[in-house]
Amino acid sequence: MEKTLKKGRPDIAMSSFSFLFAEMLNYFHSRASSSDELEGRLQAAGERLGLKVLELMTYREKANRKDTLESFLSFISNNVWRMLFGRPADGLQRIPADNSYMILESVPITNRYIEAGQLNPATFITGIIIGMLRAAGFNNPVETHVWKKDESTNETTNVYLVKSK
Amino acid sequence: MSRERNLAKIAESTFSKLDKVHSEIFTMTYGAIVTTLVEDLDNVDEVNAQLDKMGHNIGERLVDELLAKTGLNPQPDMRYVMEIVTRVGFRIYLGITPTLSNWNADSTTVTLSFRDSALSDWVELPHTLDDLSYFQLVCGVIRGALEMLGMKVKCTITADKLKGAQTTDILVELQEVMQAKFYN
Amino acid sequence: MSSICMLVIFNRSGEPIFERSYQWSPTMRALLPQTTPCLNDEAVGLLSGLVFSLRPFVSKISPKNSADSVNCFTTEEKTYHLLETATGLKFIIVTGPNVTPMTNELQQIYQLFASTVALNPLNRPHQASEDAPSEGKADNKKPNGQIVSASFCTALDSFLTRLSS
Repeated sequence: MEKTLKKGRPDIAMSSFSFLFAEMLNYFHSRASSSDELEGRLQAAGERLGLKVLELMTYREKANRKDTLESFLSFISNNVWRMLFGRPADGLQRIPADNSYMILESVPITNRYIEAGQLNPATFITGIIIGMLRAAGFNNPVETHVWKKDESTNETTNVYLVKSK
Repeated sequence: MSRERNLAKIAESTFSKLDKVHSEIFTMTYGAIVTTLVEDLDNVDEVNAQLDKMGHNIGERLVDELLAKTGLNPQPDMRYVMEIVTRVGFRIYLGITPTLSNWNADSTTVTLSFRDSALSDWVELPHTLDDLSYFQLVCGVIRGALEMLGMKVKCTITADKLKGAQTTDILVELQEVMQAKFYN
Repeated sequence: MSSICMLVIFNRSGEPIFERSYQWSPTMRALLPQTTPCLNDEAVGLLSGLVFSLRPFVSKISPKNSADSVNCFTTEEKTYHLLETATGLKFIIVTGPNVTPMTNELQQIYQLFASTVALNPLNRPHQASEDAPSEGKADNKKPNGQIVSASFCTALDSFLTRLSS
């Protein structure tokens, strides 16, 4: 099963993605009977994408299997983030207290132009992370949060919280 | 300067001012949408219809962004509008410039062709989905955008690269130029 | 240009889909949105009819193949600056008299519109009210294309304030 990978395709306008993503949200919204269901479907779509991403990255980068959760998360927050979003995530931090990890991102591409009310569109990206973790054999739950950057400001950041099993 | 070169210049200059993404996130999101629809809906015809509808919704909105950012203000002239669609629209939103061929005598039908696109990289259709029209979204976008410009068109995929053809061809047929009607 | 008193947007069928009135506040040095409209509903309706007829009128009186259009008209009290897009949207800024045509500014407002409203799937500015199911009595019917966008309002307010100072 030889796939030809076309590297070096020209970039496209970000609004292409935004239009498509907004329409996907619209579709899920029309079929969901609750906001939990909507969020669940959005995350599930992200998981599908995550599986494909790992396939692609493994093929392209001939990547070695990342044995530890931390090295795999580092791969995600750097290499995968660069491929999907054009730059690495803002940070990857470990929370020693419960051995969980946070991937930080100020403005996810999913949130750029969308006014989605209560739903956090970045749940899609959480799904991507989950999809990749599952495909690599990690079963950690991942949650989407919006937290203040620090006590002194009201500035927030998106946090993808990878919890210990 | 020829009209084509002028449009290409406008496309590049507009594109340089826009936020951009690598095409992968777009390709894969579209793939996830198609997979979801195939699972949700009972048959392939419904999937194609849903892709067309989503495309139409996108086209309705995308055309305003395109016109606002480029400053173009076309009359409902099929030749000029299709040049804008291929040289500016496709260039900015999908990273390719399809060719236009087989214009009929009164310039109301044309075939738009492309080989590769940001929609279908690395996509292989399994045999169970032989009737799936992967590019149906694009048909919907063209239809929706042109409708906002007052042109009612029919878009049909006449060749599909994912099904073995050399190129993907979309036949665009103008059915009606609509006159705006005052609401009162 | 602190005499800007209103922005109105009509859709292709001439239905008003957005109205925002302003008053210059010398103390705050800003153009502030007002709830009392600069033009009442009847006046807005008449303006719509007038503007709707302008494009066909101009195309009848212009030489063949020219793309002429009205970009502003003036009374003693007010000036009406107009931009009609190829999609039939009509953006009108109402200002005091003796203001030079604001065509460039209107084009920029169209861009703000595109970045906020066009990207939001909840707004369907091109949908005429007759196409959608009507709720309530005919005289209460608002076009389903009514624009509801906090980000458009915010961007518009800042833009118009910058113009006025």
